[in-house]
Amino acid sequence: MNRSVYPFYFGLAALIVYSIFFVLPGVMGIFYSFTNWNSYSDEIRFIGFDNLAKIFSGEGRYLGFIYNTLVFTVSTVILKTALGLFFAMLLNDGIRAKGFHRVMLFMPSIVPMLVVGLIFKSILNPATGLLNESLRMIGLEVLTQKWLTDLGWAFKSIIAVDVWKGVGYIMIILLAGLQSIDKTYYEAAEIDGSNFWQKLIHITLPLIVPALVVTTVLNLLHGLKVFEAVYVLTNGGPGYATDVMYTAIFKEFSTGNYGMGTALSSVLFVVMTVIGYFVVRLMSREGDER
Amino acid sequence: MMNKTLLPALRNVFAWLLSAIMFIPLLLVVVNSFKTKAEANGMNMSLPSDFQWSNYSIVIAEGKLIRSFFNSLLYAGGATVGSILLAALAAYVFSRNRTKLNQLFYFYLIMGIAMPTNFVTLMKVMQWTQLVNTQLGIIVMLAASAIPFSVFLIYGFVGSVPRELDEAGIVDGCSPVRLFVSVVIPLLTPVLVTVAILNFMGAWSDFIHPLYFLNNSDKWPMTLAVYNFFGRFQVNWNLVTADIVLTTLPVIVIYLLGQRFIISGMTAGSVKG
Amino acid sequence: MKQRRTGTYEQGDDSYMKKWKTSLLSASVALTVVLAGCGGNNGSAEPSGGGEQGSGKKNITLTYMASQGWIKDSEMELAKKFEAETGIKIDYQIVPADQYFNVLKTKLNAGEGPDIFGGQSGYSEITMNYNVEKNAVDLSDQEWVKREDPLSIEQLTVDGKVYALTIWDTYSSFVVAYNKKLFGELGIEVPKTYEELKQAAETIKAAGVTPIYEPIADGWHHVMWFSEPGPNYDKLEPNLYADLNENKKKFADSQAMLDSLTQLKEMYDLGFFGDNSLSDTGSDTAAKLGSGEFAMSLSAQSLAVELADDYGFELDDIGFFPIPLTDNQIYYIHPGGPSKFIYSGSKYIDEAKQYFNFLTKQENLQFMLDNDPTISNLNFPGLENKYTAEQQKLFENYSERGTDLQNFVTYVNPQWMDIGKDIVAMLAADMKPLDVLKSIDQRREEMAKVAQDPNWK
Repeated sequence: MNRSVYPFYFGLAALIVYSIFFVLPGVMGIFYSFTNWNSYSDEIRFIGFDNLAKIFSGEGRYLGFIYNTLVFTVSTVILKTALGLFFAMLLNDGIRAKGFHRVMLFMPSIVPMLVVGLIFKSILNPATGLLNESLRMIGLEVLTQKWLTDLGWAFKSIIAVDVWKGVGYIMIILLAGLQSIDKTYYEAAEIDGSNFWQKLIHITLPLIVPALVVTTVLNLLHGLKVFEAVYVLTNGGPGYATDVMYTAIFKEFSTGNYGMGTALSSVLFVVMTVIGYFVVRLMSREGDER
Repeated sequence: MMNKTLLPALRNVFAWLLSAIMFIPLLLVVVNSFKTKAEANGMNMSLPSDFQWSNYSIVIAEGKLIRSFFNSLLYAGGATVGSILLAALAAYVFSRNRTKLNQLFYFYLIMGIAMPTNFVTLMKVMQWTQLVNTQLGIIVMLAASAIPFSVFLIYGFVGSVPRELDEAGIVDGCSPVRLFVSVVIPLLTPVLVTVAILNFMGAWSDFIHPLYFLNNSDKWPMTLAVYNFFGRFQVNWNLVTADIVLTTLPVIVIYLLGQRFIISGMTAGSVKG
Repeated sequence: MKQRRTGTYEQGDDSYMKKWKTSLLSASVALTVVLAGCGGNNGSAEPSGGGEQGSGKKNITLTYMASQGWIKDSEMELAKKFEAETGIKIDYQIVPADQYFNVLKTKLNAGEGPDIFGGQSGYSEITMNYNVEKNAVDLSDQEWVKREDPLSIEQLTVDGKVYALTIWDTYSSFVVAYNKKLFGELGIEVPKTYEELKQAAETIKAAGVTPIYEPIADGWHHVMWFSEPGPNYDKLEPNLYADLNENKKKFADSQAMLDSLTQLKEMYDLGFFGDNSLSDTGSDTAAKLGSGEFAMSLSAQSLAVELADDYGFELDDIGFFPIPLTDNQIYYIHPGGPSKFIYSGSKYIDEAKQYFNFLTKQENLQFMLDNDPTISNLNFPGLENKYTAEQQKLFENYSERGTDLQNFVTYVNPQWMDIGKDIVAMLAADMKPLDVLKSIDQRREEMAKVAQDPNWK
C-alpha cells in the first residue's frame, strides 16, 4: 500500500529542477578545482591537486582564512543560539506588546546584508559614527574604539553586526519551538516545586531540541558561507586580518583565477556537507523517536 | 526569589531596550532619506531641516523602481511558489515512505543547503537550457536554490501529520494526489507559510542572479537600483537611503501579513489529538 | 482541538478531484516542457524588432553595461537626444563596482555580452581581461579616432587596431590639493621634495591642524601615493618600466619604490593623516578640508570647485602640487580611463558605432564637459576647457610629463585593491615595505603565468 499512496513521481520535479540548475553546475565546478581554469584563455589543463596543495601548504594566507571562518562560525552559532533563546523566552509570555517586540527583533533579518553593512560602516566610524558619538555624548568617551580598523576589534565588530542581523530570525524559530511545548508540563513542574533553572533544563531544553537542531544547522552553514558581512564592513581588512573563505574565493574569481577559486569553494563545500550530514543524522534520529 | 512586580517590569524595560537596539540603525536610514545630499553626508540622527520628499520621487524615476518592483515580485513570487510546490511534494513522499532509496534522495536534496553556487558553470547550464536572459530562468534558478532548505524544513513537519489520516483517506477512496492536496497540505499550512516567507525574503534580496543572467535592465529587480546612486567616489546618501527604504518596505509588509501564520500555525499543528 | 476535514468524499467531488490531479501532474510536466521549449526568448537586444520605419528612425535598443560611476548624467542626457533623433534607445545597466569585472568576464566568455560594454584601458587590461581581439569590434576606421588624444588611443590599441572609445578627463590627475590661506599664514612654501613636505606637515601639525586627509577606508585611494609618482621611479632608475614589463626586474629590486613606500609609512607614523584615516572615506574630503580641520588631501582637481560651491571658498584658495614622494616633480598622467567597447557578437554594431559618432561630435563633447562638474577637460582637442587659474599654474609649473605606474606596467591594475590591503598591513606594522613589493611581485607572477605571458617562463 505504501508504494502507491506515496508515489515516487511526486518528488520527481523537485529532483529534476534541483539537479539541473543546482547540482550540475556545482559538480562541474568542483571538477574545475583540479584544473588551471582561468579567465584569460579558453584552454584548460588538468593540474591535479596543485590547487589543493597550495591551499593547505600554509603558503599564502589560506590557512588563516580557514581559521577566521571557523572562529566566525563558532562565535555566531553560540551567540545567536544563546541570545536567540534568551530573547525567545523573554518574549514568550508575560510582557506587554510582545507582538510589537517580536516584529522589531525580526526586522534586521529582512534588510539585505549589503544594506546592513553600509549602515553599520557609517555607525561604526570612529570619528563621526553614531556609536562613538553617542558614547561621547553620555560621557563614556573612554569606551570608544576604532571598531572596524583596530586589529583587536575588527573581527568582533563583524561578528556583532552579523548577530544583530540574524538573532531575530533564530529567535522566531526558537519561539515557535517554545510555544509548542505543552503548558501542562510546566504546571506539573510548578506543583512539584521546581524552580526556574530546573524547568529550563529538564523541560524546555529537551523539548526544543528539534528547533535547536534546525537553528544550529542554519547558523553553522551561514557562518561558514559568510561573505557579505565581511566584504562590506572591512573587505577582509585591516590588511588580511578579517578575511574569510568566501572573500578569498571572491578574490580568486576577480583576478580570473577560476581554478583556485573553485578549489577553495569545493573545500568549503566538503566541510559543510560533512558537518551538515552529522547534524542532520542527529535530527533524523530525533524524528524517529517521536 | 524576585519580587512579582519587579521581574515583569524589568522584562518589559529590557524588551523595549532590545527593540530600540534593533530599530535604531533602521531609523537612521529612514531619517536620512528625507535629507538633502549635504545633510545626509554624515549619516547621523539629526532631523532634516526640510522633509525632502523629492528624494523618493527621484529614486523612483531614476531607479525605474516601479518596473523593477514588479520584476522583483515576479521573481520572488514565482520562485516561492515553485519551490514550495516542488519541495512539499518531495518532502511528503520521502518522509512518509522511507525506503533506502528515498532516504538517499532526501540527503541528496538537502546536501544543497551547503553547496555554493558556481556562476560560471551555471551560465553554461542556462545557455544549454536556453533560459539565459529570460525571466523564467531567474525564477527557476531561485526556486532550485531554495529547494534544499524548503525540503529540510517541511520534511520534519510531515512527521507531525498523523498517518492515521492518510489511512482514513485511503479507506475513503482518495487518490494519492487528492490525499495530498485535501488532507496533508492544509495541515502543513503553518510550515508552508513559514518557508514561503523565508524563501520570498531570500529571493527578494537576491541581485546576483539577475546581474549575471539578464541582459536587459528592464528586467532587473529592485535590489540593483541602489547602484545608480553611488559611484566609487561619491555617495548620495540621501538617495541611497530612500532607495533602501523603498526596497525593504515590501518585504516588511509581507512579513507583517504572514507572521500571524507562523507562530499560531506552528503551535496548532503540534497539538496532539 | 482543531477541526479537521476528514471523512466522506462525495461522488460529486470526483470531477473536481480529477481536475486537481490533472493540474498537479501537468504542472510538473509543464515545467519540463517549458524548460525545453523556451527557445524564443534569448538574444541580446529587445525583441522590439530591428526593422526600420518609414521616417528613417529605427526602433532598436542598445544594451550598455558599465560599472558604478562610469556613466555620467550628462552622457545619459545625450543618449536621450540620440534616441529622439534616431529612435535608438540606450539601456544602461549599472553594475556594482566590485561585481563588474566578474560579470563582464563571465558574460564575454559565455558569448552573452551586451552591445556596448565599459572597461578600463591599458594593453594588458584589454588583452588579458577582455580579450578584445575576440570580443570587441575594431574601430580604427572611425572618424573620431583621428581626433582623440593619441596617448589615449595608444592605450586601446592592439596590433595596430583601436578597440574602444575613451571620453574622459585624462589630464586631471589626483594631486595634492592644499589650503593656500593656511599655507600663507604659516609661511609654508609649496614642497618640492619629500623633506619639504615633511617639514610643512610638521608645521601644520604644530598649529593644531591635521596635515593630510587620507581616506584609507575606500581601499583604493591610498595606493595612489605609491603608484602615481611612477614616472619618477623610471627617471631615477632608467628603463625601469620596460624592465618590469619584460620581467627583467622586479618591484622588490627598485630602491625608488622602496623609498616611496618607506616615506608613506613614515608619514603615517608621524601622524600626518590623523587618527582616523583607516576609517576615513573619500566622500568626506570636501567637508574635512572645508572645515579647516585638514590642510591637504590627495584629490581630484575638481575639489576646488566643490569647496567653492559648498564651503564658501574662493576658487583660487586651493592650490595643487604633484605627490613629492621620492622628490617627484613630474606631473603624472593616466592617458587611459573608463572606455567604451562594442561587443563583437552584438547584432547592432552599426548602431553602436552611430552612437559613438554622435557622442564624439564636437558640440556633444562640449555639452558633456559643460555639464559635468567633476571634470575640467576631455581628451579631445578644440574644446573650451574649464581649467581654473590654479590648474593652469599646475600645468605650467610642472611641465615634465610621465605616465603613472598602473597604466604602463603590466599586471598592476588588476591587483590594485590587493596592493591597498598590503599597504594597510604595512601601515599597521604587519608587513614591511619590502614585503609589500615582494607581494606585488608574487601576484604579478601568478597573473603572468595564468595569462601565459612569454616573459615569465
